[in-house]
Amino acid sequence: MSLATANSAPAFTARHGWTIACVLLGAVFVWMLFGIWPEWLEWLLISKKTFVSAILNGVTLAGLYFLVASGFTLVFGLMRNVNLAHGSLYLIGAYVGYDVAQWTDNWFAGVVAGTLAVALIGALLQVFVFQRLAGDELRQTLVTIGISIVAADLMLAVWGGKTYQFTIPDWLDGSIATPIITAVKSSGQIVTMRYPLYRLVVLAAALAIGVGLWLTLNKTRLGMTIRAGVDDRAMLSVAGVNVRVLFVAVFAIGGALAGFSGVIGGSALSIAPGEDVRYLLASLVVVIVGGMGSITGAAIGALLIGLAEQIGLVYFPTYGVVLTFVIMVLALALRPQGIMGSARTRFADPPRLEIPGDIVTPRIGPATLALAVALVLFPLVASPFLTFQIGAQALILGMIGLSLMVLAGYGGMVSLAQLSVAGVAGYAVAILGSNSVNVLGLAWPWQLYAPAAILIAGVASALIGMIAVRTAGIYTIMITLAVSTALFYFAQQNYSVFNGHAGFRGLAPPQVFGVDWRDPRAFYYLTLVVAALAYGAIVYGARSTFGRALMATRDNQRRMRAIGYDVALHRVIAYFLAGLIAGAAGVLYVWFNGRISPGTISVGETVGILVIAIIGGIRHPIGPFIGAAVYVVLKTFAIDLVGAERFNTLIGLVFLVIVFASPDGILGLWRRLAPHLAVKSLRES
Amino acid sequence: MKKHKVNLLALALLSSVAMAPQFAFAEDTIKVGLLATLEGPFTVLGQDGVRGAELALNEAGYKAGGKKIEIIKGSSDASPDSAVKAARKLVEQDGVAILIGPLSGDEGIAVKDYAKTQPNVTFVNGTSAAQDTTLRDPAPNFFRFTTDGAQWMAGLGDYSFNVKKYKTVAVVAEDYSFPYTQVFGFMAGFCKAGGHVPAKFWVPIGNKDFSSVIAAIPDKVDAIYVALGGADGVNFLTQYQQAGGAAPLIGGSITVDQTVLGTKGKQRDYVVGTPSAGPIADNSDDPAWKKFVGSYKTAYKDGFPSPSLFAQGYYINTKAVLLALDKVGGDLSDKEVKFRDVLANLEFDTPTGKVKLDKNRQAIADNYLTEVAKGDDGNLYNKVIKVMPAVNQTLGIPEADFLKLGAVGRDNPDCK
Repeated sequence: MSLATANSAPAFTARHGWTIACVLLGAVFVWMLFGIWPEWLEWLLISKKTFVSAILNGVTLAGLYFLVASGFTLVFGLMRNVNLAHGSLYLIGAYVGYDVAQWTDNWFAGVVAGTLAVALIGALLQVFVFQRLAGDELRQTLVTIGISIVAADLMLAVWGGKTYQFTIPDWLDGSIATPIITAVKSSGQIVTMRYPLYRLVVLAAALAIGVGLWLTLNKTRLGMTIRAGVDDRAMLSVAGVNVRVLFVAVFAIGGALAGFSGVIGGSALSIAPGEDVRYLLASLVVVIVGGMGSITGAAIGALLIGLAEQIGLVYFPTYGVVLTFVIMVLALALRPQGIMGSARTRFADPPRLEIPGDIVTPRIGPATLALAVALVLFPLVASPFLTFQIGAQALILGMIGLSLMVLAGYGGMVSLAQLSVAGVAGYAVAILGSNSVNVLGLAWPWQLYAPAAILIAGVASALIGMIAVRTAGIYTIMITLAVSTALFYFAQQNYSVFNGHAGFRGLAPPQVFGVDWRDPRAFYYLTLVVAALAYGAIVYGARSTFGRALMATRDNQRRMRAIGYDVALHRVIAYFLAGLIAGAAGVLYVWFNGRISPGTISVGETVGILVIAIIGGIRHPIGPFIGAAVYVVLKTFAIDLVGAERFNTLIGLVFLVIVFASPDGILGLWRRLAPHLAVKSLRES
Repeated sequence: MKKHKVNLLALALLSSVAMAPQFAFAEDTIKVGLLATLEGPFTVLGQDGVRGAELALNEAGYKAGGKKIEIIKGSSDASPDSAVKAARKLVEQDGVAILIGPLSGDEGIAVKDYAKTQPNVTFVNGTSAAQDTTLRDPAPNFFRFTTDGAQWMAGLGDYSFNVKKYKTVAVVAEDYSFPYTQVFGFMAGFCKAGGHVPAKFWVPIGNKDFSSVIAAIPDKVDAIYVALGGADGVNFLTQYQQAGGAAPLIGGSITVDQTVLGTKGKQRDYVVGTPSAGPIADNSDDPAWKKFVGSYKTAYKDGFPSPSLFAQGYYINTKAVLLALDKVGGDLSDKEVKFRDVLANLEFDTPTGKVKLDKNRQAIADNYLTEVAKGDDGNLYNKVIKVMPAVNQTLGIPEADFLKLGAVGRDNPDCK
């Protein structure tokens, strides 16, 4: 809108050019839909039927994505709360709707029940969870991650892994004739296309909801209040509006939209575990592309992503899934705030991450030395299994967590891509070194491939950083999550370099100095030395000029810029250095596993690294190692404690308790409890 | 026991003081690890695998060769990494002598690799069905009494061409190793019979929306071969029906199984007449199968309507372990050499016919060619058309020639 007024000059401008181009493109498009195709076009695009249905499917899928993403973006717009449990709300709505629809034998009852149930859950979440963490956006976001981990596991416990499919009313089912001619038979008979009616129903529902939301936001008093809240929460509160009630209402609406789309989407496709992550990722990409907090942006983003997905599926199926993420990265590069996102949300009010507590400048003291001695002695008392699977694995995951901690704690950038960076190093080891699957394997010696892999990881991290530093705060979480998902899909789909779903096998550590480094103790000490080096580097780095400058950019980037520091450059360098640590860990991790496949860097594992860092504490570089030890022990022995199928509930609850009770992790818990314990024991004596 | 584990956890948590695992099992107990997907997307399948193993153990009263069998469960999320970590824990921490599992293909290959590092432990497959678990570079201590994904297709290609008269077939399947193997098995017979596959659609894993793919399927094909399981299978069938699709279907081993046929919806009428093949047939008349189904239904009210091929696979492999233990009198003291020798030469009757192993310790077993039919009660079921007897891993092709066909993949085989 502002552009239109700015360019109101009468002469022929670039804007006129764009308009003409758009009209021409639109005309071509309409002709492609309704005209009869010449043969060369049929050949080029497989067939008219294929092309038209890809477009129609893209548009109807966009309707579904819009429904899901609108609730997500609405909640964010007002509350700056990235609800990463939004996908879980979608799935709960679908399940509840299914049960009610089965019970009442009425699909509409299912729609209503799914919508209302999730609206209620949304309101309850706001009252009992988010209100308690008001103003602390990072913790709110973390809590939603914890909730989504636990919710997914509990839904699996309640509804099982089965696939459910709604029975939609007969009059909404089946296909209808469209006026689109797909072929003319030699007899002159015209073949028109039929299209599934229900998909059009989804689109209609999306349009109705979209218009309804727009009207509510723009034409009603409630909408006015919400918009005022988006602009200035404090002022609205001063003006006498009960902001707390407003927030509950908005969260309920967001929940209702998630529940509604759960039933609508579940009816279009089906309901199964994993759909929560799928729709969360779709919502993330849609709102990143479209612009956070904007309903119109969500519509545009959904349209782009829906079309990209369907066209990709037909015309380049191998990399179609990656296309979505390419669009996202492009959108970010050109317009970091998203297509319809207001520049305001990015620059005037950058969402800041409050890293809880003071970041401690680590020093090597008696405690460190005692810990070092304990770690060195560990293999002497522990079995080879504990040494390897618990000790070495905890050190490796701790290093990846450390990479995250450095960026988050010192740089204020929570990056979820650090496991992917480690994965890049792992793949580099498989590709440059030797593997047993006959794909690449350049058979470089370890002296070459190990440093090269670490360096490649550093560069990859820096590249991710270059995208991520264009954003701030919770945006960074979302973008790095999306980037790591893109890497996962790419590795899974590409066979020539990554060997696809199966990945690489036969990756063993070298035999050097006559030592078999695959031996549990030898390998443990190797990881311990590397981890100690990484730890030492961080301790040193935190005191260096660069480290101080990085922390200063975290605390006040505008002042740093004013002084003359290149903030972005500092951050990208931080990404590079953190990438080197993750890379070193990645090399060790493939040696540890003896293999690497996309599963190693899946979304679940990525979130696991965040869990590790948060549980341990991101104030101090020792935190991630503590978190990793807890995580690995729980993961390994959960099956003996509660049955493995509930590991995620267990770790999710630990995570939630930590986020609630001790925002700075176990370290912080210890720091707070230690004085009390000391006093108590003094009294007792 | 519980207390011991809690202690262990606490100690490990402290991490500076860790205790060695206690190999304190008595002389008269044999520890057996049971590895299945008890978390992640394949949870229900893993649970059914465990049911199958438990059925075999119940029949034997958890005893074999005069010794008590102690089962320790391990869980993976279907990723090879998690399977190896769980296997490592069962072997190195819990000290199992025999490990049964895993469930899925890539897991199987990873566990086979791990087996090579543990020569004193015997590994017996669960239901993982990748060719290369036993075909190329096999592990001497890994045994598989179930058939692989290509064997599961035995007879289907030939039947589709010669009886169903489908000359050209399009393929729609998920984009990873298990469907590659199934398509390989189907095309081995179909192409040899003279059929053509002009187009293959590899759909990314997790994709639920097939409508655009459906529109791209050439109109001129006689049938569509679909290798999609569970949710994806149901989605495809529904969407194909909604799009007014007319070509008949050919199913992979899990495309038209009980879970799919039991789902309500209009796709039901459509799938009648769909041929398929696999290691089990729900409605086989074989008394042994009927007995197996009966005990499954009695024991597991919350299970599937009929045991899945996962229950069947874990049952057979567990059964093999118990039989071999009986034969050696539970004696594993010679680094399990005698036990393995017995396993390798074991030949026994299962609910799905006779099974024995080839030189790579891979099962040679019967395979079922079925067709979806509508019962008198209106329910759909897989009618047995033919039992393909004693299908071997190379599908009757001489091994050298079979190996020359190369590893399965998106473009192998090819007969446009």
